[in-house]
Amino acid sequence: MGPTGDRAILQLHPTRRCNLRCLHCYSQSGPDVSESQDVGLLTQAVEDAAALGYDVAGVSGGEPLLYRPLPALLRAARAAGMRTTVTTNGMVLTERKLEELAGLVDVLAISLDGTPASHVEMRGDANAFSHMERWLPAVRASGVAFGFITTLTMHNAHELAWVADFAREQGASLLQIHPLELEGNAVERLPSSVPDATELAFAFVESLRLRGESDLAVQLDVVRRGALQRAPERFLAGDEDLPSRLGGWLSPLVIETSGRVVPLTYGLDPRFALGVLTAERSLASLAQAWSPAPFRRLCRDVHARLTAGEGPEFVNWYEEVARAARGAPAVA
Amino acid sequence: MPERGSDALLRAWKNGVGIDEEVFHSVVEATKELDIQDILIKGQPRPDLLRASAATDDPERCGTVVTGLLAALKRGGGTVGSPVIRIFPRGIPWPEQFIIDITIGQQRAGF
Repeated sequence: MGPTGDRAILQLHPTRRCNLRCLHCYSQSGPDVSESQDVGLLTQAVEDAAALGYDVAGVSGGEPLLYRPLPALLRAARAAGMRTTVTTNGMVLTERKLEELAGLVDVLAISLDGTPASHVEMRGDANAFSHMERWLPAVRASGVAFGFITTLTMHNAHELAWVADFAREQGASLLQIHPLELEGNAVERLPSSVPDATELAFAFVESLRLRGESDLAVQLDVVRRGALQRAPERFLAGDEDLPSRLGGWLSPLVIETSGRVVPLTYGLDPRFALGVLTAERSLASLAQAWSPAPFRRLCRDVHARLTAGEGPEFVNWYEEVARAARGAPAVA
Repeated sequence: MPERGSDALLRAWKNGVGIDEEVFHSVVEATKELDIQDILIKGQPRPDLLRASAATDDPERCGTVVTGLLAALKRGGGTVGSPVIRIFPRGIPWPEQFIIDITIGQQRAGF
């Protein structure tokens, strides 16, 4: 199984429409972006993914709550036996939206990038924090399990404690800390803000400290060098035979708004993609036709570099693979 | 150039409350599993100053120690002075070792 542990995750990005235009948005979504994917295509992909062994459907965007057929998509995932998560900026989490989602979402992940001032700056909207905070009582009342997801940058490790306190006060069960990746808007707007190894190390220590303070689950999406060395198969770098079903070894599998299906992370170089979903080309057929060898070679090369000699102690595996993919030679 | 988050975090870790004897012993307990490189305790009959320097190459343990220290310092009522915890990641280009430097009590001339 891949870096997501025992769960096989299908990530869906059904729309790039969003009420915000965030500095770090990997998909360059915004109010003036209309690209969305046909729900029929996506529900078929969800059913195919379940048959391929995927057991979690994570919906992100864009702002997924602006995707009108979201309930239908979640219903399809549930019907296929999958757990569902929705990642939202929380600004349009009205009672009505929550009613629509009732019984369809297992975990709601709400974006929160540091203190209110930092959050507002990152989100480019003076109301980004206050409007999100306003709906939290309704989220609590809905009974849906929820957590916060925060972006670690070069400059905000000291704000993690504030975010954790806020999450606890609001009744969240999870705080996920994800390092900024140089993708989408971040390429031009935050080119110097991707956390380096020192910041990852401090965030690691701080996350352990925060984890010890309460029952809040704190997850930092960073891998230690020792884990890379001990379990190369988790990072798709082993020599073992692959399980027959894609979900048995490749997670996350990402469906971008365009319909492109890529391994591991949004925006991964298209040369490593499974292909593009169309009415004629289902996820099942793409998976069947895909040769994983170039992608696995990429993972092995990254793994070898990171574990050799003076490799870093802390690693954002997704960022490392995505960066290597951009610079990789032509895929045979 | 905006400040690194880790620099601000170090400052935040240094802020704390005063200690009492119970806290003092909690601090000693919290650091007992570390490779203590240097320790100095002063104050008679009651210790009112402790300075210890410890090293670990295990960030997880470093985190546990900091957690223990901060929990201990939170419990303390604060009578002796302000504790200072410094953590120095060492290693170029990647941190391979963490030095935890703890000072609790009043600063003295010549210390």
